[in-house]
Amino acid sequence: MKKTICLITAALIVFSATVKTQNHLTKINGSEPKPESMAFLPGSERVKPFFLGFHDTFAHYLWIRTVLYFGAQHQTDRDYAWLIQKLDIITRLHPHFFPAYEFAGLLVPEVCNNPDAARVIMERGMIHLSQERWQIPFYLGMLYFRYYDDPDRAAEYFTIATQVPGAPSEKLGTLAASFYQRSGRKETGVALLYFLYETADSPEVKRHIEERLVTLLEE
Amino acid sequence: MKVLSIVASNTFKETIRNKVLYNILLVAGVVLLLSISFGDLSVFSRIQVMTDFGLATMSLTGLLLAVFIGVGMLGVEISTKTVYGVITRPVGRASFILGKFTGLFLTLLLNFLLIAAVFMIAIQTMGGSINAGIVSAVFLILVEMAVIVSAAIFFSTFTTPTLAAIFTLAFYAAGHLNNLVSLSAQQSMGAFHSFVLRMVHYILPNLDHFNIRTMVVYGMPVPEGHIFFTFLYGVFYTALLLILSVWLFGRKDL
Repeated sequence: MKKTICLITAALIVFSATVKTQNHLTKINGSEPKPESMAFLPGSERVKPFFLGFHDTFAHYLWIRTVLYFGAQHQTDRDYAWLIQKLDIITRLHPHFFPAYEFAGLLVPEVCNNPDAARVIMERGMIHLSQERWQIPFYLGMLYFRYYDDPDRAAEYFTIATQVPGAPSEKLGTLAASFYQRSGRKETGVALLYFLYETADSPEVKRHIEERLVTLLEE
Repeated sequence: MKVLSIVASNTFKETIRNKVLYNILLVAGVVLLLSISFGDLSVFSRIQVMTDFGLATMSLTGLLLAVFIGVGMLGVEISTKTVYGVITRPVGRASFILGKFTGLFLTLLLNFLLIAAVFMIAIQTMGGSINAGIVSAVFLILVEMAVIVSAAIFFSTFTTPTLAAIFTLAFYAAGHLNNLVSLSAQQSMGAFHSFVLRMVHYILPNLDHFNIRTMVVYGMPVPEGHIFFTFLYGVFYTALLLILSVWLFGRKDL
């Protein structure tokens, strides 16, 4: 009995020492900038075999780390040096992981000031997800319009987006039409709107497309 | 003390003869040498990649050694009843556990020094240099392995060798994910939920403290006091697990 009490007391003392030390370590580490532990992963498909079939799992883990990294940088110096590399690795390891593409399409051009990197990642998304997620061609279209001043390419991507099941086709179609008009391809825009008009079911949508068509033809 | 050293030296002799040890060492050697070619896969310099992969290999090798030898030594002795031959003699159960730990740790230390030597020779051969950062990283991996060995012994005191190995691997994984638990505790809305997560955070080891690989690879300064306090943390946590092991083994009805 006495021995048990001694052991439990010793365990409690040592446990409180571990808690104290852990808190102190957290404190001294929190004040220091930490490098990114994933930074040295080769940005290549050749890295996949090293994960022994767990590359999806690792991609998910890395995604969590990326979100945490983004949050931490957002609250400190807003230097997102590793964001592109992380998203690149995630989308290589798990090419169907949509949130990473969304992050790349919406944030990378803005916060990293690097539309080229975003475009490369989004074009990977086009290969793997363009038939499932209308947002991928849509973001890519926006990228071409905003950062490359290329309304023609933007309109082409919006047109691709209209054909994805579940996409808000009429809105994307009218957007694409107006972009075709900007780039001097008014007839393509008109043809697209006609197509959308023919395939639309809802009378409200038909009416909306009709109005847009009239406006386009009058301009 | 004399009993402890006898148990430790016997454990050391026994583990040194273990074939698993040499297989793991062989794999570690091959991976270390392969890490030279990993440099070609990265846009960064070969030395940095080699250092990164080399330290990671050492960490994983240490884990495998700690699990397979740690669990095998005590677990198998209990399950095959050979432990009776020792504890029927004037050997206290505490001395037996501490002796086992010392013997296993010495084996691990010897192997680790061997792997570290190969690693450092490889770095030097490729034109790199061995600095204090690399030595500190290796030292902290060794301290981490002391925690893992004590965890393997702790799990071996109350379960089968197979389960103890699984628990030890899970313990390692959980220890490296502990920061996420801490983060969840901070972000948790409910007070009770947050309290439970905080407790989990303190009960599980935070093995991420032992990982300074990235800082070493980047040549970034390690926070002042980090190595000393991490060493202290490792010592405390190892002591805690050994105390619990002694207590559990003392109560075990053999």
